[in-house]
Amino acid sequence: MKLLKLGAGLLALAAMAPVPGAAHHSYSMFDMQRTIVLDAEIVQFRWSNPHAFIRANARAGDEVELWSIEMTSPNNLVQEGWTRRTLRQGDRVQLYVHPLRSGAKGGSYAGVRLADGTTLGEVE
Amino acid sequence: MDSNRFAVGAAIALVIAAPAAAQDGPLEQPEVERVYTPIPPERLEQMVPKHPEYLGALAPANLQADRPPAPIDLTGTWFVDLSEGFLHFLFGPPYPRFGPEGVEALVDAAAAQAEGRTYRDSIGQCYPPGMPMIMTRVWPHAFIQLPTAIYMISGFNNSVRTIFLDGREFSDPDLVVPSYNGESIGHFEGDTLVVESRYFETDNHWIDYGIPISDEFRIIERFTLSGEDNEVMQIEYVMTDPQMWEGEWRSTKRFNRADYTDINEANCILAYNANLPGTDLGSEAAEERGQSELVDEQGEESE
Repeated sequence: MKLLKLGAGLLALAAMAPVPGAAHHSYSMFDMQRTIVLDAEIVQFRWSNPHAFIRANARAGDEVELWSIEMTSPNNLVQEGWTRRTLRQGDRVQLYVHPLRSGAKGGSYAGVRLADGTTLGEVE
Repeated sequence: MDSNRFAVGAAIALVIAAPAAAQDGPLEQPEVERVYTPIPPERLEQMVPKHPEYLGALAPANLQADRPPAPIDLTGTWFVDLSEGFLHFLFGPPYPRFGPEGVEALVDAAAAQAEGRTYRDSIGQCYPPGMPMIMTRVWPHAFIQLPTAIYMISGFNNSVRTIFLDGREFSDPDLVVPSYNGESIGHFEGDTLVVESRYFETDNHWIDYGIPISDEFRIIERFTLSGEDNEVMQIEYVMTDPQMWEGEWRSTKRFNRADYTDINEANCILAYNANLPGTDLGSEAAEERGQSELVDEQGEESE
């Protein structure tokens, strides 16, 4: 198990993650064995079929990185408590993400800890 | 000039210019005037697609035609049964003996998987999955069975497939437009619906992870229902393509009723896929933003 961190702004986790329920393409580019946590400010949250997605600025030490986070479908997200108003531009959250294996700034959604402490998805 | 061009030409809108002078405040809404030119009946007739030799599946005379009642009714919303493993959305293994294109796909797909790359990410570029892969998308399918046809609408990008049951023949191969779901014609053998599909579009149309098909690709499906309330649908697939593999490629899939869901609108929008790192576009966009500072606890750059 490999623990990871991204500058000062990232926690490190590792987890076995299931294949996203509504995946319509390969997930081989994601490291589904690892979960990283982004201290993030939401830039955009798009609630759309077949995939919802999040764009967020993540703090990495003194830098800010723009990440794209692929999510499953709203049909699946609703079942873990998401609504289309769960995130708004400017919200500060912790995003739990299976990162791209390439090291580029993107990942697959695993869970979120909202500003009020509420959690959705896999955050442990 | 064909009929569509005629229609477009006749519908040109004339906009009466709004005051052009720069002014403060909101724009003034311009007057819009259109010139409507009547279309001759023969032109109108050409606009309507038709196969004059036989009625459409929804023509009242066809729906009401005298024919035996269907022995099974597949109407419902169905969801592929992946209880034995997610990878059962794939149609192999077992695989037939592939020709060089299929072998190359197996080798290259495995290499891409090992390297964390996509392989033939056509769906991520909004190409339809096509048959048979559309059937095992992890989305529900609506089946609407009528006496003349079964209409299938997938929750994945609203892919539409029609199985004609009205006794028609396959289309003229010189006129048919190849499609990703093909042309499907079915008949009943006892309590089994037997469907043959052909005339598939081959461009960016893959089975499993990038296995190609040729224009000789054919599918025979055998649909049956089981369970106390016909809550399980089984489809046996026999796929042939003499240009791509030897003999028959067989696979069986089960589907369960999903009575608490419906099919909603879902579109593949290429611009959005740039935000999905699981697609080629999204992966490239992430690369353009540069490497993250992902490091392990020892301070080494991660792989």
